[in-house]
Amino acid sequence: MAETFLTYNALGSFLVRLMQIGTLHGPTLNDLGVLSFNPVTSPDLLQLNYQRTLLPPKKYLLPPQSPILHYAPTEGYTPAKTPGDEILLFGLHPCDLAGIAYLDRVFLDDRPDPLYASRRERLVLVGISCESDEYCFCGDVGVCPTAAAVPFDLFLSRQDSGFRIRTGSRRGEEIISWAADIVGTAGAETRPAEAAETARRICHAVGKRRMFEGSTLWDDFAGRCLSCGACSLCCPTCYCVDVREYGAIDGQTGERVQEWDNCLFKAHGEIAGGINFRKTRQERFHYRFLHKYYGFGPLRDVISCVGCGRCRAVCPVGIDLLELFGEEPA
Amino acid sequence: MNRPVIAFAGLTACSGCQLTLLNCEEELPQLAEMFDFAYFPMGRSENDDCCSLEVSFVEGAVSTPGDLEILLNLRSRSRLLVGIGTCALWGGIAAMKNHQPRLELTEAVYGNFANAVKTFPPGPLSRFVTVDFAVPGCPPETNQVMQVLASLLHGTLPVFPGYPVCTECRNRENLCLLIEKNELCLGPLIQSGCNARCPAVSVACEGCRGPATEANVAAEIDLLVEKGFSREEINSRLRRFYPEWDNGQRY
Amino acid sequence: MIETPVPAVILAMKPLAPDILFFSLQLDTGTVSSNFSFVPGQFLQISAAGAGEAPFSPVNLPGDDGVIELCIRKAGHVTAKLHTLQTGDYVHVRGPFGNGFPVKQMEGQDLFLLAGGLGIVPLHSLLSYLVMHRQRFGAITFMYGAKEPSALFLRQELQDMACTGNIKFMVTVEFAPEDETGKTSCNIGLLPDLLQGAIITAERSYAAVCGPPALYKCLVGELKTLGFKEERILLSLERRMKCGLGRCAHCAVGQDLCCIDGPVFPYSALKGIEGAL
Repeated sequence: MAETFLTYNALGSFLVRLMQIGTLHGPTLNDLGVLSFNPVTSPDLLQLNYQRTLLPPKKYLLPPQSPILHYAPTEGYTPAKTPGDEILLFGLHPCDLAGIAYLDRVFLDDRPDPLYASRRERLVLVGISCESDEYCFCGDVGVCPTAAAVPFDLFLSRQDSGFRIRTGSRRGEEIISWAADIVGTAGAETRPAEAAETARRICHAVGKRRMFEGSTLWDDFAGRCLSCGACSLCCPTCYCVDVREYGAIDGQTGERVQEWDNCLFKAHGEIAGGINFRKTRQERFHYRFLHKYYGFGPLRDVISCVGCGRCRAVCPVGIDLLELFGEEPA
Repeated sequence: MNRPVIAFAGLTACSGCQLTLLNCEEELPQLAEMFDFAYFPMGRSENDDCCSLEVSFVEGAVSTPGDLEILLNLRSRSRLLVGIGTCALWGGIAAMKNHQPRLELTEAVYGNFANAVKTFPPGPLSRFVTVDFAVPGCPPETNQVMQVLASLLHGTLPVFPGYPVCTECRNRENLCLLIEKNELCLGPLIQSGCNARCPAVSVACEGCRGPATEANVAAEIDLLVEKGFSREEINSRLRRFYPEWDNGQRY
Repeated sequence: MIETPVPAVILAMKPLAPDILFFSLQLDTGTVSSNFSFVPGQFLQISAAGAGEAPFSPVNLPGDDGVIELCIRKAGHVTAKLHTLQTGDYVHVRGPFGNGFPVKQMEGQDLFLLAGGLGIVPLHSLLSYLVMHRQRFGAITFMYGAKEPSALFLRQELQDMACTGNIKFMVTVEFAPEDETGKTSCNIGLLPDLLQGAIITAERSYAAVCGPPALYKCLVGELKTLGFKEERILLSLERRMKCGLGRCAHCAVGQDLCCIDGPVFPYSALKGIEGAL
């Protein structure tokens, strides 16, 4: 399908049209100044020139806490139900789409999870291009070498007078055809996109299997880290979860819940009897670095840093794993 | 089904933790059905001082000979002893001034009668008896108290996460008062479980739940000093609910 | 493989030590016939309703009869609940998960099974398999070490299997109280010491090891001294697998996942990985 063009003037009507299709969610700013993905009742509430939300769209696919099994004496364990309505998730930056691409590989391809699949099924992804700031590096959709292929139903690339719209799925094409009276055909106007220097440096260092073993940064990180968990919670690709079970006050039924975990927590490497395979914070940072940049399990050798910059932005003590790559000779 | 026979008792404290249970108004009929509250001076007029107990829930710090007597009595009658609230767990508010001489403190309150007051520096239950489980908080969260009761009916005790308040705070997408507002927030050091109740309404974490599993106290103090807070102010805030921080603890 | 926990009734329980119970469970026949086959060294997730789930390797080789045998040490909230259950009560089972011992690869080879403490569990299961298919394997030596004689679990069963299966069986303990006759009832020494007297053709032998983490470090060195290649030293690792399906990322060892790539790893795959042993 040919690319289409949406002028800035027509954006409002386009968003209203999207709201007629399903529940529209997108980046909003609350009274306290926190940017987060939320349902919107009016297109005016959407922040289109935002830098990054606090939590990534991961929260729609793998919520911070979610029931996975229900127990009752008569039925035994039964899988948790998932909500079904379609959500149009508007305004996803390329890094966040890359995050979803990574989670899709984990939970749709390699280790199929019905709960994830049902949540993913109901999402319509509408991406939007953005500008890098001092924390992030992805450049633009499809150009970042750490995250080349990303999923989207629609992607809006900002140009001088409006957005060039790309469709990435049949659903995307349907939406554009429903909005045919609002969008026009794309002209020649394009802005060139290129990957940021940081992404190239990461790929270069990873290609040489650099682990920065001798760096003094490990001790520095370990000494400062507050073990608050923010870096993982806010990471679009971190998917470690802990599992707990809570019995109900009826003394009969119960619920098994999974919730986000963090490899920098002391308990992450513990086994029965309190034996810990990653006792020190240094070891936990090594582990985090290995998993972020070299991958693990079926996604070995897949970089899972999508360059969103959240881990640096939300760290109370300003720890940035990317500083390690600064030690790589250019 | 056997109803577990349980006790709810208070030592030196404000009774707020026991009130937490009484505030579970919707669940009270079911609780009364599921448990035999054999000893609960705050909730009933007739109490059994002698029966064997499945579990005793004890609120408060130990600071008088009377406290100790109640505690030892309950401990010797109970299969499990659960401390509820920060005073029972860490000493809490009552232990805030433990670094000052006891007589000085009693004199400040009771003047010439200070010597007649039989108290000692308030301490947590674990200083005197074996504590099987603890529910932190000032007061504890009702859902955690309910989880303990529910787990007992299922033949176990719950597992509360050991991570700090920050984790829950981020999950709720609150504004970070430490980063964005430079406030004296103790979130990184404090045991979660409250779902970041205070930061969610823009009030910095005061530390009422005591230390998280792995508190990097030294780094938090460095950070707060860097933000311009005096060590005196930081120490005073830290000591409000838990008197025994090791300010040099980093790992 | 069973993904959602299915019920299994407790047929029998018996104490092996003050904090360890032996469980015999029975899956219902429908479950067994549909999708349940098992390699020794794999693990199951056992649920105690209202408390949660924890991974265990069976002691036996669960077969068509749907009987699963477990040894469970009371160490946390799930195992505490399991210890309160009684014959006739139900637990729930998922699995099996993981790779298990590479039994096909081990065929025609001499085998050294080295168990420390409760590490006996998966090796007991492996030994059952080896005895069942005895003619496919070369010489088999089973070495079992524990703190004291009373902590040598399943000793009689192992002894019986060793006799019927022509298996060299040796036990050792760190210390032993004298019995009424004034004699100790066991060899006293450490597990690696037993290896020193063994006759080993390392190039056609596999060593399979399971025990507490401290054991691995000293045994690996000992086995290498005896000429074992690193890929012929098989270690069964313990991790807190939460899902068993590679989704929770809780059991990662370096870039591997213990629940999918393990829990049995050749030492060559673990060498140099921080936090592996």
